[in-house]
Amino acid sequence: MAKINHEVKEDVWIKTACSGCYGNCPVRVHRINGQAVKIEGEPECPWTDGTICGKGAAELQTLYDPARLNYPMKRTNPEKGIGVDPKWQRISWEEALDTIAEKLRDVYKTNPCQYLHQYTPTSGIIGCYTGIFSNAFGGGQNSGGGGLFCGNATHLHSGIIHHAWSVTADFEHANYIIYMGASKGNAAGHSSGLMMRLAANARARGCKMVAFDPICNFAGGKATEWIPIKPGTDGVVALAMINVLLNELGIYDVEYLKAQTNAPFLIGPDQDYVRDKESDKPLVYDTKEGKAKPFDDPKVGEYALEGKYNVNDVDCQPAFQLIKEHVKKYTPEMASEISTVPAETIRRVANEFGEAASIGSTITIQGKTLPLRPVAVLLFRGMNGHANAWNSIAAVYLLCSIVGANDVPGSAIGWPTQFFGLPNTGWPHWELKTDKDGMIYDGWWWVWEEAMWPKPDPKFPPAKPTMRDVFPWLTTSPFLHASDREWWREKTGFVNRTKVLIMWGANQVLSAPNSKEVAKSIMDYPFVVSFRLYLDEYSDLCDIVLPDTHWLESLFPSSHMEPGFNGPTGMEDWYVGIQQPVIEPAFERRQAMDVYIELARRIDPQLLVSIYNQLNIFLRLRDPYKVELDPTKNYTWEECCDRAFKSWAGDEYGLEWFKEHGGISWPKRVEEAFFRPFVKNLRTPIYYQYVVRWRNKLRELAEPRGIDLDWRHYTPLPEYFSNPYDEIADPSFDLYNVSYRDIAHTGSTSLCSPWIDEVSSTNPYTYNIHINEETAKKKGLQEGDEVWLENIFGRRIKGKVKFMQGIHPQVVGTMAAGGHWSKNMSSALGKGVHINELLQIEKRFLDPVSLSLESSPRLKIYKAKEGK
Amino acid sequence: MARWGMVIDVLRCNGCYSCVIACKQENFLPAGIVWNRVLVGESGKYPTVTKEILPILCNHCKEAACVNACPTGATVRREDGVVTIDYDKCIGCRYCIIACPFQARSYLHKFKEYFPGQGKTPWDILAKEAFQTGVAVKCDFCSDRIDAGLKKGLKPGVDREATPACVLNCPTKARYFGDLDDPNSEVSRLIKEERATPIHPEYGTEPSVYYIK
Repeated sequence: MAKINHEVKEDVWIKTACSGCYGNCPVRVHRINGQAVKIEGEPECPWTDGTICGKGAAELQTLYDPARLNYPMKRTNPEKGIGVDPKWQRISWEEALDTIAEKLRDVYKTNPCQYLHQYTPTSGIIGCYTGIFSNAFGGGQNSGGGGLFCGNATHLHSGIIHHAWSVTADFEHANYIIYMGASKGNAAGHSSGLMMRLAANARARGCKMVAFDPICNFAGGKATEWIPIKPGTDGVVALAMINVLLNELGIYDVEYLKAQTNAPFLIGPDQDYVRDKESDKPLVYDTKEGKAKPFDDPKVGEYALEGKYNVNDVDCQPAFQLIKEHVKKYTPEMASEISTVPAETIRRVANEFGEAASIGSTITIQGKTLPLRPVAVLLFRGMNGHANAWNSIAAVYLLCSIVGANDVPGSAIGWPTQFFGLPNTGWPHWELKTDKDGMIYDGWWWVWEEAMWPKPDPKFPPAKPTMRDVFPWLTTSPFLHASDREWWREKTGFVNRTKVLIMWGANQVLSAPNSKEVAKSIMDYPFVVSFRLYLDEYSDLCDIVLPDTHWLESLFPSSHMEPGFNGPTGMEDWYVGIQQPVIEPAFERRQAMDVYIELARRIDPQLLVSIYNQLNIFLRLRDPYKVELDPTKNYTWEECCDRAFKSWAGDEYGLEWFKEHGGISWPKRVEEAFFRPFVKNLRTPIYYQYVVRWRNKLRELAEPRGIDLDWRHYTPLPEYFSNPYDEIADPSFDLYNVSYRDIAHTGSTSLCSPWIDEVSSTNPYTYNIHINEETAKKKGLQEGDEVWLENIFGRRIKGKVKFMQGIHPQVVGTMAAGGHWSKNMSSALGKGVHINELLQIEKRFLDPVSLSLESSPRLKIYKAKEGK
Repeated sequence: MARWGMVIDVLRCNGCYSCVIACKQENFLPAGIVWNRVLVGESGKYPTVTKEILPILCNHCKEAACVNACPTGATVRREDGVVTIDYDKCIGCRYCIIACPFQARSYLHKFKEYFPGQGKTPWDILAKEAFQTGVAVKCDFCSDRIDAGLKKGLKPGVDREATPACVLNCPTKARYFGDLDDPNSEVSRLIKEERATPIHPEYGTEPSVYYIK
């Protein structure tokens, strides 16, 4: 440490967890004389092994940023709008709380569905847990930020195949990893620090990483082989690879398909399972005995994967047969035409993947012999951000499934969903079960959400503006800011217009598509409150802003208590750690959780009781640590944290223990790392039968209401659907947008950090619009030109152009969430571009199943004239 | 006596800038002064392109050009190989900055505010404590940590307290530190087994930083 010339009266290290992104890596912070001076990784945490990435370390500057919001403010200018000065007046917390409580009490008493609760998940679980308030209140909640094109389809598929929020590779044992729109180990946020180390280990060990990526920057840049691809076409490549494996090479895991998937389930002409009349279980055909039996009948001699049968007077075939036939039309040549990936590359990668899968091989871990399938295909936002997301992602999951590469060593693994609890208590405990169709349920899932499986049936009218009643499989809703939201509201019969919005953190004016539409939709709400770190573009739309604590000023026990989200993957040891204030909140900043509890206290005793109930649920409190459902009790957030730690770790391990020691680590059990071999009767789908059910139920209700979706997307056999812009865009809009997360940034706040700026301004791509050099020259552009990037609706943004070789010729690339314009964000001004301005939320650009947004619109680029 | 050196594994590195920021924090570097840098670029022609990421810092050369150029003896090479600057002796002539073929040194002309126009933040105050204007500045292999650590019997490159900040914070474990003169040290072993080489050995300065490519 550099020399400090003044007297050192205090020199301590505080253990906490980073919220620079939702990796929530454990860190320790050096505090000298009450001032935080350094962030290092926490050496006691096995995942990060004492390390922390640049953007996490840089969070120290955000703590002391002079532009921070420090006092509650209310607007005095009744006119709201982007760039319109609210004319903030500082108010006391008393006035703020009373005003907000009054507005909320009215809604609570008349119609709780008129409260809208939003938050950013960027900081990790701490943001998600503000849902304690909304679950108690009864209003709708929706994560803010770019979630719309981030995870809608993948979380659905991950939930069904892995019962987890996301998927990564078991880097420790993998030999061949395909990246399709994912960046695990590079810029990706889920368990970012851990993924970085594990991916580096895999690289060093010689694991081959093949990245299909429009841009050779993060995933493409660290791959063994970069394969340029047209955005949104990965699905057709996956389908072609499945075709090659099934129909050309004959490489697939027969035993796995027969025993652990619905491949042998008999499918009738209605696309659904043929079921046993007595037990209602799906039937399979036993070729040994020549008859159909329930799939879990232990006496099945030989499962048929192919053939045509007649069972219960119904002509049927095993699902596998249907898939094998179905993919034949997806030839590598056809996929090459669409994706621009050469056909021989598609064949070669399919062959390499199939060989590397080592079907039939095993490995012994903790004395248990498990299948070893050292291949994985990783996907996330890059494949989600398209109107074909559900099907494309279905195809990729199918690719892993046919070689048995799911939740076994070396393969595509969900974040841990079986959890046998902390060492002293065995609490909390999640163990997977299977339903009568063999589908998995009851493992870890988000504490505030309804169960992952089964999904309820669609219902009209939707009670909440997020419209999850209509699409119960939805994660992030497009319906709040969609340009055609009034059409949806009218058709679905939605009436519960939002009266009060409270937003924790997200700057949706930058991070959601089309800032004017975002602003219009928010300005419709009579009363808007936001917890913020800064006055920024979003606060222009608020009535009251509340000065939030930074994570370095916050107390939170549950950073690592949602293992299926950011727990340690594979055989990595467990760690549960505290997030605690390194300095007491400065000025009048207050932690949101304290504020929400206080609001409930002021609103209604019944609400307070509901909050206490939610605290028991969210914090997974067990007797004797549960809080009483008694409104005369005055539980504080801090006290609840103490109860939480004791519930999980035992009576001697309360808040004080965690404050001192930071966290607890204990070994992973192989059943927690790789659940598949240990769950009875497990049959994850390769034939997506459930989507047929969803379609039938939804269509029945939607069509009479005049809601016509492209029902073709609701297919149990994945198809490829093209980019909706291709049908309507003028040829002059000849570039596809690809915006992505830069390794040094999270959301829009990271742009405020001078340290981050020092690194980003030396990076050739971070702040610029990057384009293929040849494409650019054909358009008469020169390196460094100021250019306009325009969408088909006439909206445009300006930026500086940077030539690249490592970018597909039909693509224009940018880092997401840049382009701040608010004067209050002075250190962020002029950095990056506001790419989300060019996205459009409308029915025709949404995936009809997952409601993912097409985030690769067709754009045109041209030089900006002088003075314009 | 040990001869300190570093090995950086470019394959492991993913360009997260941890080393840059850790160094800024550890050394209270002023705005605009960066001792660890990560160069990012690309090579090849579409579609056969390689992204290039190169973390660089002062190479603490055995035959340091900066030491040779310094007229006042402010820049010296210690016995343990670390090249340091005595700010009190430095007259700011900047011959060293021109002499260094790796552009590893900077000149601190004057303090700039981290948040211009918004007053002094802790970073500005700390920077002023640690530095003076009108001098050349550069990475010193965290020699404070090395020296204090050795006094306590700790091993630089092994024990955190005695190890340079950029090494111990790297999430991909791409950096190693140790005694180049000990054939059994991790850095010596890596250099031999992985055939690690310095950048631009042809400059003849004999860098102490090696790269595994």
